[in-house]
Amino acid sequence: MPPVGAGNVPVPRTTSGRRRKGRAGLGIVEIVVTYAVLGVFCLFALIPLLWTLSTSVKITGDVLRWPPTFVPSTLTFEHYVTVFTVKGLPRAFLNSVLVAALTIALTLFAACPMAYVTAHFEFRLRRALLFLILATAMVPSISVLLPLYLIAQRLGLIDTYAILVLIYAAAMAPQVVWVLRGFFLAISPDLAQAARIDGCSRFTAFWYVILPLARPGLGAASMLVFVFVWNDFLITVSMTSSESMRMIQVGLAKLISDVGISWSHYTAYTVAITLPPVVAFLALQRRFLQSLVSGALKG
Amino acid sequence: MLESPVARHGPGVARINVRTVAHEWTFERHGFIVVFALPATLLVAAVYLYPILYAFWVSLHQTQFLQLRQFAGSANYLRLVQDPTVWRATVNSVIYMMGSVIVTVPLGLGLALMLNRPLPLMGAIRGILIVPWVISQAVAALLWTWLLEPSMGPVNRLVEVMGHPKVFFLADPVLAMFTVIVVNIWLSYPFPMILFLAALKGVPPELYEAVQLDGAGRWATFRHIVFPFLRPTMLSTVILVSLLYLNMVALIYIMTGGGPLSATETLAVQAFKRSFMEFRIGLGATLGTLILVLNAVFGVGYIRLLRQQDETIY
Repeated sequence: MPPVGAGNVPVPRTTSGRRRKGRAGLGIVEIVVTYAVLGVFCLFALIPLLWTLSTSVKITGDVLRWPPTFVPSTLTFEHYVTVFTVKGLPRAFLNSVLVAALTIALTLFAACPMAYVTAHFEFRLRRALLFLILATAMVPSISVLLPLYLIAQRLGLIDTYAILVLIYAAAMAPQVVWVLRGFFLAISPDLAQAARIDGCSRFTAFWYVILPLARPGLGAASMLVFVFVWNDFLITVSMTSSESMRMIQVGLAKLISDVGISWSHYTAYTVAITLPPVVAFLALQRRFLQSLVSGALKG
Repeated sequence: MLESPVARHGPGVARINVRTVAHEWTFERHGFIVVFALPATLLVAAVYLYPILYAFWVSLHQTQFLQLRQFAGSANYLRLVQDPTVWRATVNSVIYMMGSVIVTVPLGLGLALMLNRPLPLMGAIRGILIVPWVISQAVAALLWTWLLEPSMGPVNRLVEVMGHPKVFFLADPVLAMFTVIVVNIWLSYPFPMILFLAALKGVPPELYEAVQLDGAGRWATFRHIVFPFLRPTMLSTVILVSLLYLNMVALIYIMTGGGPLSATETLAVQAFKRSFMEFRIGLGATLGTLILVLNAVFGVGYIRLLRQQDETIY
């Protein structure tokens, strides 16, 4: 029998069945069950997406065939060509890329300095500022969209990049401050002190010494902002109405309401707009997860 | 939270770091702080705080299309309380939140526990399992509408082959709510899973080894080592996930438009429709404010939890 352990961890009476343990104390049955369950959920996660992918490269005859085939008999990219040429995808793509880039710039411009001073400086309003950031991170978009619409309308900002960038940046700034603050806290303020003794100003010490060390944080934050802007439907559908300002998610929904849209075009469009965030995520998985957790204030 | 550097280095380190910075009041030092804190403060104040106040102001008025008419005090709020569609939406919100949370949180926990086992390929499997979280609500909504579509959708063709009459998933009120919840589960289960995975990383490996030397079984290990570690995360995860569902618009709106017969019209969807489809801005603003209050109630609980775990958090 195993020795009785100290502390309040009770020792179960039947441990004899667990003698033969494989890797890391797991029995063979447990290992098989683990993989089986995870496998089932991988299928649950992926099959709808793979089905979309497969439909998007099928010729029309294949799409209607019964029983359906998962692997297309003939590969075709004509649906992609169609959505990229006649269905207004390029303009929506351009809008989304542009707005995402501008939003990343504005968010980092606002959030970086805030994250730095609240991480490395002690001052009277520090706690109040951090509370403000946490609190605004929990304000849902749906509660501010209507007043924002009314304000934007009065200022003539409806249907402009400016209003989209402002709203997205303000929506993401609190989370990004939180993520970046975590990175700054891991950097010693002594570095900035040392740089100042060497003649740097506070700003140049931040810019040349601290900020480069927080570069992984900037990457992770940019990634969060990109996915948020790219995937947003609610804000863009409320703040824009003209076709030239349409962003990709709204473009997708509008594609459906068009008369005569075929499943092939729809799935091709879906794949085209879903690929960028999925690829970015898979490439930067670890960093993305880390920032997702430390910035997990708003879904 | 648990993966942040504060937690990794222990709260003491961060505090000492902050203290080593000089404290004396100088114009130069405070000027720097003000300049650095200003952009984010202004942005958030202008685009989030001011609109909240403005929405409240609008909610106190009678409105016509996009115009404010005379001051009406609490009239909109009284109307809201007496409006059966608002109560219906509240019930729908509760069903949608509970129905989703009851599945996604235990599922996320179970998957996280399995992914945390030291077996090969776990990184790749984790990546695959998280993919739905990167999919947008609009894509998920349309993707599943297509899969479940009665005439051509693959699911219904399968149903037919099995000798069952076609199922109109989004046409029946009860079935529509059920379907929307299932799609929401597909889209959002990775979120609690990610939070639990991060928390599990905070369990020191020595603890596992110690109890295993003591001969503790799998259940005892979970019950006495893992579970106490996860308890604070459990609660904060439930809060975050519930808020996510409470505020969700796009997924439901695109799949059902709140229908059929308002069966899937949650509070958030109703606020969106009143504001942007019907342009009844008084009611829209009042609903928006109500949703904000609900968020605040949950949010205070969440911030308290964060502070309990780590006092240096703010």
